[in-house]
Amino acid sequence: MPPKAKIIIVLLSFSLFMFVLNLIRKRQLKIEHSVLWLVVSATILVASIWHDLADGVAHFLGVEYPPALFLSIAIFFSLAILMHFSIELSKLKDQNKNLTQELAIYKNIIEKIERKTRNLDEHNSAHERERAPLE
Amino acid sequence: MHKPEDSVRTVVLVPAFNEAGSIKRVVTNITRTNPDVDVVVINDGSSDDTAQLAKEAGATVLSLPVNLGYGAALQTGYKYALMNDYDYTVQIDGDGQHDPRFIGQLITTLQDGMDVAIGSRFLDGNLGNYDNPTFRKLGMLFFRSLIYLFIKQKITDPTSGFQAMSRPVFGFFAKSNQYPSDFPDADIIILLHYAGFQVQEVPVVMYNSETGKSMHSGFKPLYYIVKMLLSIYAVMFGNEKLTKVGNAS
Repeated sequence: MPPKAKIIIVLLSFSLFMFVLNLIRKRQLKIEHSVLWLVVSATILVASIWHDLADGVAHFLGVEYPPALFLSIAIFFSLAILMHFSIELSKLKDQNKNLTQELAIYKNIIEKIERKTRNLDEHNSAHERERAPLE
Repeated sequence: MHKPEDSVRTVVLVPAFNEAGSIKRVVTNITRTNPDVDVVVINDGSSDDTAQLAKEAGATVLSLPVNLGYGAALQTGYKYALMNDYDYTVQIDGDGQHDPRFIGQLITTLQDGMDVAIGSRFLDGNLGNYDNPTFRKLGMLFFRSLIYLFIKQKITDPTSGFQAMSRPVFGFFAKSNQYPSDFPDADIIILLHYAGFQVQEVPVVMYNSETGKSMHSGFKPLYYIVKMLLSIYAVMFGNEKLTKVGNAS
């Protein structure tokens, strides 16, 4: 690979790795969501610096064209992250549904209490008006 | 065990999404034909004045701040019924296709010891003027046979939204993560069977939806069939414990 291209790729993968670390540091990425991303960005970084690694692994597995192996692994990890999102999304949807349902029920309870207190207030003030002329 | 009739409390649940055109009539029809029941309209994030009209008609209104879907709206009603100690729930669609005069018959079926009563438009031949589009007829036939395969009981109208349930059943659904957000259907009937509940159909009359939209409108039938098969798969092999919840007093 030409050195210019290599430098660019190493820099890009390094910044991806730092970006993930920074997100964790600033708590913008939950720790439990960050593990997969760390693994992925670290793998990319190592592979971009240590070129012979991919070739060696491909050779060991008997893959003739190393980039194919690399792309397959990349696609696998992307799918893993997407699946992780789907699972989280389903969970969030379920929690959101339960919250919304309870909200509707409690809104109704609050309305009932408000009506009761209003009636009570009206009752009390009517009572005071009745007593007023006697004083 | 039978409670004395006058202490039995029934709540009618009406899930409604943008039903301003019919909700008032639906609520007044229910209270006129069944003076002893409480009516709860679950306003499923409507953008029209469904909630206001339902209140004016005398119903209790539970307003979901966002649209969750028919099943999730219904489940809100089950939660409400459980919190407020009702004995029976009856569910009626907000579009006026179910005739509330049959509520009494559904309740009687529960009092005779059934756990769930399903209003069917196909028992005793085709009553009423419910005209049924062909693709739905095919789908219904398919799920009818599927249900028979699993529970060995003939359910003629598995898509019926006109149902009544006793407390153990709606209590079970109120807490279940398996209750679908969109349309409870054949999967729920099979779930009921495996949870040990007794289901019986009752002949009712249904009309075409007053506002012209069916609850399955816009649904791609093929997607629906796949979804339902997956639901049944989840019911059969899921890890939610399918044991009958103890009869709450």
